Amino acid sequence: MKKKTLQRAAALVMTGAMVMGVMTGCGSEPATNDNTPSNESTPAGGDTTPAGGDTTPADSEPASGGEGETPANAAAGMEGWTAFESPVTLQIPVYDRGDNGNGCSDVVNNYWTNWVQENFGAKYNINVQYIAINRSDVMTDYTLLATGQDLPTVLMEYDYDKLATWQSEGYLQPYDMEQLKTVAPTFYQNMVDNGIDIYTQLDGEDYLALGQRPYGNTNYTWITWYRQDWLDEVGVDHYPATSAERLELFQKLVDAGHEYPAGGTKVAGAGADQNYGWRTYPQDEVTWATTGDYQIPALSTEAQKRLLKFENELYNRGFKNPEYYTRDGGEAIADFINGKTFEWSGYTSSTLDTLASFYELNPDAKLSVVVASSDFVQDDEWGSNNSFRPTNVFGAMTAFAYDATPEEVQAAMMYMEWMSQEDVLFTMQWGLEGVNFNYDGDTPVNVADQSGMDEQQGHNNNVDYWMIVTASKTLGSIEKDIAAITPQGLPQNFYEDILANYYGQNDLYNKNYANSDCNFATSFQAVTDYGNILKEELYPRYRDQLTMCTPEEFDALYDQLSQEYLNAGYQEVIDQRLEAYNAGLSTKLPK
Amino acid sequence: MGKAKSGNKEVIAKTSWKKAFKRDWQLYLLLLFPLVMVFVFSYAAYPGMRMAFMDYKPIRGYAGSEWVGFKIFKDIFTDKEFTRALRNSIVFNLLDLLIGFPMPIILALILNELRYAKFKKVSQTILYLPHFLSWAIIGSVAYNMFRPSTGLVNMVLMKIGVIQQGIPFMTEKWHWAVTYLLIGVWQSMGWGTILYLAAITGISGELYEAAMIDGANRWKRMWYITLPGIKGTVVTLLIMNLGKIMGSNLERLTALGNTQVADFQYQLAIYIYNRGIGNAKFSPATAANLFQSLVGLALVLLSDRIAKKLGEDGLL
Repeated sequence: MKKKTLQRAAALVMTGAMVMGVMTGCGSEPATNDNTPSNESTPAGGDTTPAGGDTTPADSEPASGGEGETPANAAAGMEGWTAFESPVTLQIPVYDRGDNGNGCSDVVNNYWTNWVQENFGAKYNINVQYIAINRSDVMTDYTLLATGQDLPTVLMEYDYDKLATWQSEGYLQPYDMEQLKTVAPTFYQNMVDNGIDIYTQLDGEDYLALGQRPYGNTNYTWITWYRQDWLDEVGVDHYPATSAERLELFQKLVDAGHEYPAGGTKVAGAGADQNYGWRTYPQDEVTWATTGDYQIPALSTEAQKRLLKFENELYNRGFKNPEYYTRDGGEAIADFINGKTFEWSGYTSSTLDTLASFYELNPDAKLSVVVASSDFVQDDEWGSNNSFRPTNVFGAMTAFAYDATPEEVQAAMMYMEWMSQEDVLFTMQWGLEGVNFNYDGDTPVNVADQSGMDEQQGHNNNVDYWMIVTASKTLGSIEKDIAAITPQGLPQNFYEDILANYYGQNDLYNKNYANSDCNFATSFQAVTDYGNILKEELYPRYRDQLTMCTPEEFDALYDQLSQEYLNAGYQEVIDQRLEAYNAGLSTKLPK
Repeated sequence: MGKAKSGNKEVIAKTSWKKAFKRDWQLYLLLLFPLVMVFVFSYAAYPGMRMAFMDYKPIRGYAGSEWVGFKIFKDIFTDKEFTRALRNSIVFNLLDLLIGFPMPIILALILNELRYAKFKKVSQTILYLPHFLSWAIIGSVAYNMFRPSTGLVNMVLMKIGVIQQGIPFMTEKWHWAVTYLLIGVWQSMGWGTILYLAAITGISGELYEAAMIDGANRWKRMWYITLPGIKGTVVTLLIMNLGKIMGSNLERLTALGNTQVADFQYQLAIYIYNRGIGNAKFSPATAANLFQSLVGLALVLLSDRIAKKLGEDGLL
């Protein structure tokens, strides 16, 4: 009898637990339809504009005019803030870089997220929640969040096209610039001081709040390290200045027994196969405006043809790993670490695991950094040159989710202002003295290995938390800034070369041999409709066909695949961009 | 209601649902869990099928999105990428069925004949294991095994002089097709034996004893007793598998694919993922999925009917 009762009780408990388990998996209720703009309330022709009524964004409801929810006085920056009467939830996206990150693994709950809550959230009755966004698949993550009516309070990205797409899809609401000036005067002033406040509008309304990007006319944090000892071995006294020299070097390396010195991986998503170093300078403005971005690979252009022809040469001459299209980025890093490839590129920081591992396995190796020449060099044979892609003059772009309430928008602006404060930014960027960094004179130097610490910073010194304000740390001069991001704890010091690379790029930019991408004050339906298919589905396939065909077949195949690519939507993208360019809705090349 | 046969007279014992529930309430309670699962993950999602008939915008929701009738279906049926994905899905699923379906049956028959119990158990466990590996792991292992020049298999074959050049198991579409199908069989056949082995245990031992006395050898016992004994199970599983002819496994395709085999790798799961999630076009993705499901359902119903006409129990 006792046994039977026990069995019944067990069955009851098990069933209850299982059912509850299923039910909890169902998640929370989506946002109510009250918050969903409807056809009826959407102004004609304004598909992407949030409806009015209850969901009217903050612009029609000034910060200080709330109904007891907003701080009583938000008119004078932080000094004027008081806590919200009722708790406000503020959701901030943060990149989850998985294996490619070099910071703490839990990006939404760690010492620093708690630090933000303690020092900002708790003070103003704001519950700051971080929402992890897969760094390698940003658009998918935001799409899924939007589908679940669960977008974070703000959406953040470095790529202008992505923000434009979100605006076009209706994910965003415009904001009131006056409110930003009032609630976040420091953040706003940063925009003005850096001359980036001119980029806030899409389709005539303010959608974007822009972080700054120190030294945005260069790409100085992206560094290529190469095997100096290999150059010495084959008697070459400098890093190849042209593509022709590059091929000669690879031939010598192969002859010396280095198999596949160029390495090679499959093409991966946005930013792949950038053709800045294969364009003709000074650039033709229409070509630059219509095909000059890096979000959609520019198959059908002359620059892309040169780039792919070179890849074809690398493949056919045996310099590139013939199985490259089955290999991912992790394998490329492993190849370099294992001493199998000639070079590796990545963002430099004071803690660089790839280089540390490289020296562990190759203690006698000697590396050098590729330094941009300040003189423009054009390769007669290949049409390539030493140009590069300057980053945007602004850093991350922040926009407010379409369904964020006025209180949430205000809380987000408060967060932006708070993070802009010098002391806060310094602590987020450098961490705690004696724990995350130490002073060398008056210059802070990060502790190289923070693994295992409770206070371990996120990827690249917490950049994914403070990117809302600035794209990189600055100590006031490029020399100090580069010293701070020069890899530490290695047998070699690359400071001088990284600095020289910055100056070289800066000179090229000033001579108009490097141009930032064209930015449009509107979004394009064709990019939304075809961008992903072109980039993810067609280009990788066509690119590999062109890389692996015989050199004799290349030209005809390039023409054929270009036409297919244009027909699949790229022509429509070009046409829409051209229309916007002709209508004066774009930036221009410097004269 | 319970049915029992006593001699030639059928006795029907009526039980009210209240009595049945009172007697077996623990069982009903346990049944609740799968029922809730089915309801939540299958039926509760049905209203989402509306998207196939709307120009669905996530931000506007169902209420704000425009109804467009069958326009989305017309669009996808005229999309050559959809046609390609459909063709590949059907061909590869038919091949999967052709190669993959008999394997668990054969394996179950072999396992059933093993007499050394310990060996049998170890074999079964080893055969079940691939089912528990994720496709990401299987894909990674497959590439390391079968790459043309750096894959283990090719390296060994080249080393011992069997081949001069690596076989492009994963990088040439026809070779890939074979590799893809065989890896699929390897991954699923062990797990697939479970139902057949269970069915085999239901066959009366007396039949085997009688056959042995009559001089039937092991092969004949298998052919005349075991196989007919599991025929019902085979037919049921065949019908269920026919319903999957239009389906495809995104994880398997992604893990084993690359650009060189895109011609074959591009199947409905990839089309639906790219259009739906990748490009935020939920309407065409839902329409493609709905079409896929309806054809699958039709195939199940049709094969069930055919099975019944042939004198089998069928599925429904």
